[in-house]
Amino acid sequence: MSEITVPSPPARRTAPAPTRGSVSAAARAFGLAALLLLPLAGDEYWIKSVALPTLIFGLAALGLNLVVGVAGQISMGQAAFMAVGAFIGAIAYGRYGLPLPFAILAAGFASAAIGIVIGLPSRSIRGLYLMVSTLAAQFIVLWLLQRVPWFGAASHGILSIPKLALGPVAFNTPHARYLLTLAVVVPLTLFAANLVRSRIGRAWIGIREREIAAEVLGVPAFRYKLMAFAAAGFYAGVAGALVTFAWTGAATVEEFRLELSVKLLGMIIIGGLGSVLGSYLGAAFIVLVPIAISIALHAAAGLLGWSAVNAGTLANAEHLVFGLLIIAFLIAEPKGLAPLLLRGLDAVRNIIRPSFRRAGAGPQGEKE
Amino acid sequence: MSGDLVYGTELAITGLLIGVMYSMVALGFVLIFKASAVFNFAQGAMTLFGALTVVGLSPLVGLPLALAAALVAMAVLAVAVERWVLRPLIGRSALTVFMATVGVAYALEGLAQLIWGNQPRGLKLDIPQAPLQLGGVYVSPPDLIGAAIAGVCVMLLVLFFQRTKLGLGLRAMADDPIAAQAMGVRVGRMWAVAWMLAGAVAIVAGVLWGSRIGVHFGMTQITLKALPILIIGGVDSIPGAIVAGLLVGAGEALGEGFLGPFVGGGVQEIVAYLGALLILTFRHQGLLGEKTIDRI
Amino acid sequence: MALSFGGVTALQDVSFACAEGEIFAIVGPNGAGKTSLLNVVSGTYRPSRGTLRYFGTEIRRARPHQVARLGVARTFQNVALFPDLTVLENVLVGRHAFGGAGAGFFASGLSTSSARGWESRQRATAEEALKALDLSSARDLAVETLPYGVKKKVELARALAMEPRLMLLDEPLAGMNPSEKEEIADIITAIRARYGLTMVMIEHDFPLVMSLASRVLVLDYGVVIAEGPPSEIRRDPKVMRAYFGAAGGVD
Repeated sequence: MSEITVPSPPARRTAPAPTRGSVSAAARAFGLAALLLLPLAGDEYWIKSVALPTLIFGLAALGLNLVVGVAGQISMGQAAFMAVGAFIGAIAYGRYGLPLPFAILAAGFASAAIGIVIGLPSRSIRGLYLMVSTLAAQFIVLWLLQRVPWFGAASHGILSIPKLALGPVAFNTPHARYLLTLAVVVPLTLFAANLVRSRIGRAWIGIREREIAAEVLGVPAFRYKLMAFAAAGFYAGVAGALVTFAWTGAATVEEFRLELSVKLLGMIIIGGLGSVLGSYLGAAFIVLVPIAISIALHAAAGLLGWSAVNAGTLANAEHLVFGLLIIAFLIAEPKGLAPLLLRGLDAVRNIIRPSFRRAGAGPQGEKE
Repeated sequence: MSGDLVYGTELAITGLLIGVMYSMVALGFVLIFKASAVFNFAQGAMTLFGALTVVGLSPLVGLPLALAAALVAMAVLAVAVERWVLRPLIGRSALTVFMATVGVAYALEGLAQLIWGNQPRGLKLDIPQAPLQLGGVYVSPPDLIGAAIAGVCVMLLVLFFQRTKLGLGLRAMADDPIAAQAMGVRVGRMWAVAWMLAGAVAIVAGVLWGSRIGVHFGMTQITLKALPILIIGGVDSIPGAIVAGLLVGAGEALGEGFLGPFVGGGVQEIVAYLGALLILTFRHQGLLGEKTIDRI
Repeated sequence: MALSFGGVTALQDVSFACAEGEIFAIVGPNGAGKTSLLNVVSGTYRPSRGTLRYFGTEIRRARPHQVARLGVARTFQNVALFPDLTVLENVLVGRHAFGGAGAGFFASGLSTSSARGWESRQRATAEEALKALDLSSARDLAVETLPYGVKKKVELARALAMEPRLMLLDEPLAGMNPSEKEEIADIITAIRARYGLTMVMIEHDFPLVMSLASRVLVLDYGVVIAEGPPSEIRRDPKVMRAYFGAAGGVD
């Protein structure tokens, strides 16, 4: 997987040359596979509270990044799309007995359809207005999920699912569920990476940067915005289904409140707007920071001799540090984690193999 | 039939009185939006912070001093936000600045509850609770007094904008930031002033809300309704925010009263958003906002 | 044809026709409605009444992307490149309208062989357009880093990559130094000669317009005050008054 950085730093970029099959690409793929399989060596806690949420929220964030980071629209309703996916997936699998892959697809397509509806106002409104109309969608969709009896969430907002299995294979351990998640997340991520680099991605970027110029060049802007909303919906729907199937074991309305939509926005801004890699980095950041803060606070409390830290106090301190971190991060790292990580990797590579230094960069070289 | 009418009138009045409080919260948003074009997600957290400070301090030092202390806290917050959040982010996308206010909201919620604890707190304002009967319709005194206080605040704000140099400066900046800057308006100071005003409005709104429903975390959620209210009224219009707040309050009460029983309640959760969608479909600039034309 | 915005009339009874293959210039003082006129042709503004025909097809109600599909390309007064894309990628957006196998959503996402084929064909065409403007070496640069004159050339290359039959140029020479102007003027003539396309051009540089254009339309306050070959326009007293003030004259 090549790292996509759409709003790249103002430096030259290597065109996606046909490096398929070259040693470096193979090495990279191997490294990535190793990284993705690493959590399997960890215990249940790490899979459940770090690896799974990073992948699942990363997938939802990736969808959001297509519509916000690449196509330049605003959506505060991504969590509601996830909720639709969670419930449709649970209903398709539990009530109608669809095989797991089809239930996941149904979740994705249902959310994509909702995404198109939510995207309709983008024909004529943008910015703040679009933010509020998607915010409205967030509340109205959750409201409907809770009120319409067919969704089966009427009483407590929870819909549980039967045991998870595909044919003879049962996904009854966190490890198996992690593999299931990987099997869904990896192809969808590659799809998005290809998309961003393609004609479709360029049209989206054109709309983001100069909508009228893009239209004059032959891009039907409204149709492409709807396409972006549909893709965002699809990714969110699949991620929502994965929350149900692989993570919590039940579809709940509570999981998908506005706070999650805001967090997903935070993930893509912190990870890198328009960056496929950044979506996952941002998700990892948002998942890991509270854990890190909690560990640090517990350690500090231990040092200071407080017997036990009150859970409420801990949550408040987490909020405080988390908020300050977001602000500090936005100020210090405008382009997000993705370019930061890539720069870091480049630096490491240059130390290991100075001769590797971007052969054939031409007279322009690297200007940062 | 007349029973329905009385019921409806009571609902509408209750709703209008709640609407006044919505207007207050929405006003906070408008103040900041007009001065700096920032969409301040932290307005809800500011409301919670203000209310908690007042509730926490008033048993110790009395209500007036508690209010004064909360005001000072808000002023400090305003200056800090301008200096360490808004100023470093000048020239960045609206989405980034919005996200920064999300960070402010998180930090403020955490800080407020670290200081004052997570427990919901009651707020007593020495107002008779027994409903008054006015012309055959029952009205709750706290709501009435709350509405009166909010009304006075709005009047004060209007006077501030029309009569004081600072207020005129804020308006000039909202109309044309670059021209205002050229005329000697100091943008950073204006931003801080706008955030201070929004903070003061947040205290009033928080105390009024708190006297109705107690002071607790849920407050931040209620204040989110200010966003659709803002759209309904027109993002740049102070009268718009007030009218839209009243309309939404009444709409919620009537919707819940008459439609709630048929759909299983919860109508008031979405009335504001449905209203905003209607406005966005038929009248982008809001009820009282000014039309802006997009040029190429 | 007329165009108005909320009571303000931008264009009034403007009527003209250009012949295939000619360079047609629109001149006039600032605010005369020249850019509005181009916006009407490219579909970004919709005239309140009148007809707009392009090779016999009525396009008054067409959306900008539909007009583009018909073979109308344009450049903008204030360069409208996509700053986060490279030069080549900018030009590739000009190939957007050329769909076909491999251009769709799923083919692109799956990076099928037909999608890769589509991409490499468009790249070839885009490279050709870059070459025509002597920009091949700038191919992979981020457009933000380019000097203004080069940006204007990239915009021309992007328009050229659309393989248009009609090219609308909004002040292609504005903000350039004399030698750059010379170069662009030569390129415009060369493109027209090589591809035989029709060009409608807004330009302030009167002498250059007179040497480039085969016909000139003079606009003032949204009204046509003269139309004809440069030699006639040069002698028209109304034009002199509107364009150069009462006492003005050319050189």
